[in-house]
Amino acid sequence: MKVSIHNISKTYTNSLGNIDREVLSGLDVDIESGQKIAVMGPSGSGKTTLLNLIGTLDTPDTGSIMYDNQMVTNMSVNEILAFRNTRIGFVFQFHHLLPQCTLWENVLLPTLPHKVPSNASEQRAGELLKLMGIREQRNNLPGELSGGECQRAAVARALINQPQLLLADEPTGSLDSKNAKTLMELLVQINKEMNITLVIATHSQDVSGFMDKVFHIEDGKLAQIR
Amino acid sequence: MTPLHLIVRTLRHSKGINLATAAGIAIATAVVCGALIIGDSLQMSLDQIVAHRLGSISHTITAGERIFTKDFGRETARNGQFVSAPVLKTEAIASIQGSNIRINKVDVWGVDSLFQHVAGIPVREFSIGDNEVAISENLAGRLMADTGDFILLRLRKIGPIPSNTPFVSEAEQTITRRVKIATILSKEELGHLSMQATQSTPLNAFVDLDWLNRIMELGQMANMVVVSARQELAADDIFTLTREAWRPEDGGINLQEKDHIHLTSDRVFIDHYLSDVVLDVFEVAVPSLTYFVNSLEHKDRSTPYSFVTAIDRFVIDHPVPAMNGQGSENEGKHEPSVTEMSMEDGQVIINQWLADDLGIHTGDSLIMRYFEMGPLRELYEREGHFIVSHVIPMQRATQDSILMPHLPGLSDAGSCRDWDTGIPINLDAIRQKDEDYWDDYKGTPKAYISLRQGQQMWQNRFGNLTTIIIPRYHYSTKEINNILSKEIDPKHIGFIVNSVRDKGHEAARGGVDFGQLFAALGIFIIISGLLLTALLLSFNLKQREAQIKLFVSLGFPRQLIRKIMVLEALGVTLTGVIAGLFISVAYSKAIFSALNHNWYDIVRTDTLILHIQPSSLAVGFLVSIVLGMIVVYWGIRKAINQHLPARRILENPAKKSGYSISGEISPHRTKKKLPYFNIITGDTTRQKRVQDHRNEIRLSAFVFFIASVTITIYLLIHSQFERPLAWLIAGVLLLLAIIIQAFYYLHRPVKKISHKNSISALGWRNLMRNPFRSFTIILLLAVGSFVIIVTAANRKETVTNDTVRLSGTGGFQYMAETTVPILKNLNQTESRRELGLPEDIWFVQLLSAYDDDASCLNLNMVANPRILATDPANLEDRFSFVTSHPWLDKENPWKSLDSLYQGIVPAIADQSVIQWGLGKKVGDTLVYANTSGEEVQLLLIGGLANSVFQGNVIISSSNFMKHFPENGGSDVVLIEALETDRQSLEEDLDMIFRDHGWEMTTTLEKLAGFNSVENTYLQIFFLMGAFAMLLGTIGMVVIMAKSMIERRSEIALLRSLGYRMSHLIRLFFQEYATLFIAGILTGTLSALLATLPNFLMANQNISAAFMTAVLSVLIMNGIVWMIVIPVVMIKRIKLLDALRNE
Repeated sequence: MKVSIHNISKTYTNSLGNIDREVLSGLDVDIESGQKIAVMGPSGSGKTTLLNLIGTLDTPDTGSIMYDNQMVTNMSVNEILAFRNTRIGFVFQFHHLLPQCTLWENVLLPTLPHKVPSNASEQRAGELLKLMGIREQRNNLPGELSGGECQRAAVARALINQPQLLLADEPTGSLDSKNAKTLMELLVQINKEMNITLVIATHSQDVSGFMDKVFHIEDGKLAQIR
Repeated sequence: MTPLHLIVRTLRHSKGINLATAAGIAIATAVVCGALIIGDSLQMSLDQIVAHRLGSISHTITAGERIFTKDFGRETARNGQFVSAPVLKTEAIASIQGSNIRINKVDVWGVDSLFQHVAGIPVREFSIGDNEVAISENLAGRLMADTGDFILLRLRKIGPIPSNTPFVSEAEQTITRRVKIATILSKEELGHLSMQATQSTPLNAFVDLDWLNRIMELGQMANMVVVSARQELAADDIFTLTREAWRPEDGGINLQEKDHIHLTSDRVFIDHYLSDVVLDVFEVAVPSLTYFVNSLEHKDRSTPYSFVTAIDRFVIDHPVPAMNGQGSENEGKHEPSVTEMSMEDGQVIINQWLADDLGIHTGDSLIMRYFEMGPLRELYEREGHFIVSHVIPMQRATQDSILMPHLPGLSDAGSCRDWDTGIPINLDAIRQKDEDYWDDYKGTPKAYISLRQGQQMWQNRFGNLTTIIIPRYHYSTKEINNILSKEIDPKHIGFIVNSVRDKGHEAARGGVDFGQLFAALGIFIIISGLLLTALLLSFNLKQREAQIKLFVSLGFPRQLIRKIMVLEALGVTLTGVIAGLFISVAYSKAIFSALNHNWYDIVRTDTLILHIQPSSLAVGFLVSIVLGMIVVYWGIRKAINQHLPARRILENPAKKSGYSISGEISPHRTKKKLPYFNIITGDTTRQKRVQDHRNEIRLSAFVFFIASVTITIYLLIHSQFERPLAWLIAGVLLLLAIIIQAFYYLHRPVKKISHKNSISALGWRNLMRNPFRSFTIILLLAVGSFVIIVTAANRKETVTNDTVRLSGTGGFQYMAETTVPILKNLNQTESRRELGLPEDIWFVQLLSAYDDDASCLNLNMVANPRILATDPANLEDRFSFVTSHPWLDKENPWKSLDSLYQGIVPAIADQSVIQWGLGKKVGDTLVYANTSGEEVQLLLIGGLANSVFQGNVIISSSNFMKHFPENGGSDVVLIEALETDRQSLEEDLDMIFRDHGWEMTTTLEKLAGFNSVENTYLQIFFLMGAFAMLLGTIGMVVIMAKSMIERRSEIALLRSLGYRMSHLIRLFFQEYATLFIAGILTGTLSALLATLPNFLMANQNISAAFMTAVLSVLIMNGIVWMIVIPVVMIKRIKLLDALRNE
């Protein structure tokens, strides 16, 4: 999926309506289909805000974001939700697996909203778990697994609906270096094999090393540093 | 993977919190369904009590105090549309010879074999012979007697003559018989037979009708007909049918043939209605009134004790028509020539004997002295002055011997010295010549005056004629009988058909609705249960906040998220409701057990049974599901809406709380600090809409506050202290105002709160951190303490001073009730001397009519409570009025009773009776039927503060005698005995009035009995309030514990920064103490306003000790938890683990 971001800005206001802070200001960037992009910057620089906007979790104050020349601003809430569910995958710093469900069930969680044939979903879930190297643990609860295994399950969950865009916010932030490296290798492999556009927000130079392009965000502006 | 799969997983995973949430719903369900079960069960129990006390009896026919032929009872059913049986009912005092056991107010039923058939006694038939009795189980228990034992029955004598009829002796009011217990009757065998609409069990004795008639010297009489009719047969239909069976002798009418036909009444005086009908139908009839006068005097000579007749047309020459008593009807019907003279006022015709005795001649003056009789046989001697117009020979005079009415104790006396007249006779005044006159002429009138003048002097409430003479040459006895049968409407002499069964069920349904009562009493538990549910749910949702955000970020549609959450909640709610249904049965059982035993005071029966109606359970189930789902759905909707913009899921969790230990609020915090308003989206209008909502909340708090203040000021200015509902509304409005203000305060923008860098400031910040939790704690505690304080403030202390005239005792020390009425005025010197009563006590005797109890002791709704009557002067400056009608004289309220407004009788009753017992208010009327078949309207003109009169309505004796003339004698007596040795007084009075079935209690005990009912209700309410408070405390404890767990890392950090344990305890104590004090103060202040009259009114007897104790327990309870929870939790936190987690 190609993502074209044009002149977006985002300002946070408090409940009294006072402008608190301008996070993004006239930001432009094009992310080509299948590209791997890293967004780096200090805390509070707007990395997460940018991912929120790309992931349709938030809307920009000005500017537009186009997905394969398609705009979501004209869509209804439910259409946006369906778009997000089928075309975008999320990986968070914390895995956010449901503690009450097994890995298998957690991976299948995004299939609940849409009537995807269950056999096909289950087959894909199996394949993804195998790809992530955690097939043996499929019937374990998240509490019974390591952080790395959980985070890999979170990646499998993000991929279950075959998205074209994978957004990851500090995906290795809660992992040790070994698990972080394994996870990044997996993400790169997925990007390559499935031709999924990958956008990662990170502090880590190691992580950015896996990416095609690296952008730095500061004072609301984005600058390509590699 | 399906949504259902996910739901099941989630429910199992979070079973602890889900079960706790279900428990809150279960509590609310138990109270809702319990109230319905209790309502159904009580209704059914009362209906069953009606079935037990009436059997198959659907109606009764009575005629007030009259008796009628028992054949009338049999004849009524001859048409075959129903079955009936005659009954002779009286009261008795039962005792065991040689024992101290004496049971007053025993109902005695004289029945024959028909009775068992009519009453439909299903178990077994029993027969009662002469000198035998069948008694109810409870009477047997009280007497400690068994079948075959002998008991003494002192029976109230019944007869045709009303009590307190002039010149009728009161000496033989009772008859005592020793009878053998033939059988003991259970309630299924009609042992609980009663025509009164009450759940209290009567004490019954059944005897043979003929035997009872014999010992009463009545012949074949009855005073009640019991009827078993088909369901569709109305009382009017039965009356129409029974009227055909009615004969003049059933109305006590006698026709005696002599020279003419003399119509007299068994009741001595002929009822006004009967007189009017007879004189109207028989135009030739001659009315007369014969009276017993004390003396006839001329100059210094006096003739004692004579009968004088008042008549209009006096026949000077009284030829006896040629007739033969056995002859044909037409015989003697020709009108003989007579010499008549009209009587003129002021003139008197005397007989020769009197003329000789007084030495008086035509034209001489004559003074007549006679007694006028008051309602309690008070005698007032009056005199009349006459001029002798004619002297008739004794031969003529003797023809009028029949004019002397039949007076037991006088008519049958052998000599003047044997007279028993009911008035004092000066035997010294009776001379030999008077005895000779009695021997020769009996009660032949010695003088005649005009009827008009005679009626002016002697007419009384019982009638104004004693004999109506119908010339025989116009009608035969048979013809007169037939005409009277048709012309007289028995309704007008008190014959009435009572739909006892329908009225019984109606009274049972109209009475205290325990379903509503317990629903109302439990409303705070329901609220608390639901609040607790909401609180636990909010914790649950808080824990699942991340999951909801995840669902949103995964693109779950809002409907799907809601579906998952709602189905989860439905599972929790269903679990809670089903558990609640089971608990409700146990709860209802416990309540009924308490009602039958510990709370017996409010039901006065131990026969309540639990009855569960599936329809009620279904209603309760649905109501509970709806209530539970409303709470749950509201919480879920709020949570989903709050998290739909799921961007914060990508935020660093460290920022997520928006809270920093310095007390500063991060920029993100401002986005979520008003969760209530976060449902509003759209940043451009957000500020305005938030502000509008804030203003609305503030305005609503202000409106509630102003409404509360306005009501309070109005009530204070108009001294409306006896309007508990209005005061309660004022209190509830204040409660709402404060609670809403608290809500507003807790949701203020954080930046507006000024703060310092101190532990206190940190505590304040913490309060604002989760405003919903803080608000819920305040709400739970406020509601609980409101209920408890209102209850405590209403609890009545027993009155201990019975000398205060304005109190509920009226300044009287005793109240007595009798089985057999006392006919004399006990304050009169003669009565005191005769009975040996102490001089230094004062009696107020009350006449009574009707016998239904409208006090709080009766669960049934009574339409016609007992009427008590006395001279209003007796109650002057006694008791306190709390409500009044414009007709009530403010200066002397009791005096207003003497008025009569367009035929409407003013009446006074206890306000609690008016409001709760009758479901009416001052200004409303009560309609009674008197024995003349007239509707008597009683207008309630005043309501008394709690008094010994509870259950009755009071009218003046003058109005009573006008409308209820035949109810003679007093059976309720108030006694003022200030200077007397009470111990000996009680024994003396008990002995003196033993034969009357004297039952005396102190007025303090009487009031305590009524208070016990109110206090029992309050006790239940208090328990409910305490339970609500317990839920509030549980809520507070849960919140404290959960908050402490959530804030483990914060606590660990503070400790790592060098905060001492005391600092931390102070921090948390201050936080929770603020909430606790806010909750308790809110509830207490509002409750004090709601019960302000109790503190302002003099006669409320609030239990200050109880109030203090309650408040102390409330405060101690809070303090203990506020110290214990932080100490325990802080000690359990492992510093390094907590910091590492962070």
